[in-house]
Amino acid sequence: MARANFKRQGWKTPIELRAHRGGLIAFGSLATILLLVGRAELPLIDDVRMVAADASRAVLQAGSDAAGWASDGIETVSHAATLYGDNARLRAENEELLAWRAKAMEYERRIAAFESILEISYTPIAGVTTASVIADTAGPFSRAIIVNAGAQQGVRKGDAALDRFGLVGRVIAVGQASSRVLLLTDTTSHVPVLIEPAGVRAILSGDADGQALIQFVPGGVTLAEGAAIVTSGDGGVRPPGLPVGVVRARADGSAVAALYADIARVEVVALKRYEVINDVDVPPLPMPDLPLPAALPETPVASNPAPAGE
Amino acid sequence: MVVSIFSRFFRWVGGRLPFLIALIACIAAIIPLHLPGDLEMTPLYPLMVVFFWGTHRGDLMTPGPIFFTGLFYDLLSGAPPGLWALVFLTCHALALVVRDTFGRMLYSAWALFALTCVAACSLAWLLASLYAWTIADPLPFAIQALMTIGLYPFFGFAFAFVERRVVVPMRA
Repeated sequence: MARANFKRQGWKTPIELRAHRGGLIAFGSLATILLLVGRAELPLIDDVRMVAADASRAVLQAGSDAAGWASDGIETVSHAATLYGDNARLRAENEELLAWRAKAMEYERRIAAFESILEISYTPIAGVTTASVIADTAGPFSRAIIVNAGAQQGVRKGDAALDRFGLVGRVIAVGQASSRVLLLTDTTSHVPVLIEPAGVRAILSGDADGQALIQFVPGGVTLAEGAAIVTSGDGGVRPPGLPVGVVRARADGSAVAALYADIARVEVVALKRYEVINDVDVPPLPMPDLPLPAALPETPVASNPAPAGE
Repeated sequence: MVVSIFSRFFRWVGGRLPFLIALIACIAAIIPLHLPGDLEMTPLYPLMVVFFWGTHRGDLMTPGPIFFTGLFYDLLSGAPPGLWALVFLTCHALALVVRDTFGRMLYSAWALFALTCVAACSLAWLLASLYAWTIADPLPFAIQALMTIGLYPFFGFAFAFVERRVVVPMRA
């Protein structure tokens, strides 16, 4: 009976059956150990992930291209059905937007004039890399995307990722030719934001439902529905003033951000690098123009305090 | 001599083909589909490959390749490393035990797969909850299980075709 067991299970010899069982136990234990060790969230794991993403880049690129064509095709067909209605709507919208354009150009001139008077210095952009999304790992474990630009294209960890409408997330791992962008809706994403027009500071965090919650609003402040949210740049997380979304109240009383970015269907992102100039903590440079050092060594500072009122 | 080396090489490649298909399935599972609606989950393609080859050709889909398929999927999908590796290995063992115990009662491979897939998604949900130490939302896992079960017959036929027409001739 026992002799026939391995044959009934499709093995040629009992050794094969034993080897299979041994392998199952060995690799199962290895997976369990990995799972426990991985709980520590070592930075090495991110590096290994990027190696895996770099290695699969060619297949991912081909696959996402094909998926893009397919969805474009579906979109074309479904748009054809509503062509007439869309046309009429767009004509009306276009007329309205033309009026807005004149207004916007007027404001642009005015703002430029004010800026030149006030000599405002903005956080300078060190570079922009445009990349297309080749993988979408939106799932219960992480909401992130992989884009086809990496260290070779100048992408750096911490870059802000924006789509056409607003902030999408930030770069958390960089490979040779691909990088991973953590979306604003991931539960581990926490972004300091500013809510206009009063400038209320809050933190935008992803939640389990895939929405961006507005948290840590100061007590006594009620947020207006539809108020604009921009990044605050607190903590040097990213530069201030990037468009994020608008406030939307939920039925349970909490507030979420209706993001400008189309996070579920991001296809192209702009990865922006900012040179955050922080010279506050840096010791001041010696001033070469003043001929002070010649006299200083003879009078040690500690033993020669300057008399008050001199 | 040359012919013998060639045939041995083909034999070797034929033996690694299921593992290669499993790796491609991992990559396919994270390709963005840009579908309308807020559907976040993709079918568990790697489980289909591991199940089919593990139950049909256990000699070609051994615990080693199953482990590395799971690990590769973990790395790509952003899951905790080891999670899907453990799920795939457990479900592979479960599928074999169920097949060998109820072999004559479960006529359809699809029913066996459905059972395996539900077990896989339940285990993944349990591990995800334990890992994050909160109750994870079970809905995405349920949707993933249904999608995977629904699509399996198509892939099952395709894999059977590859087995008959590619793997067997290559290893002959």
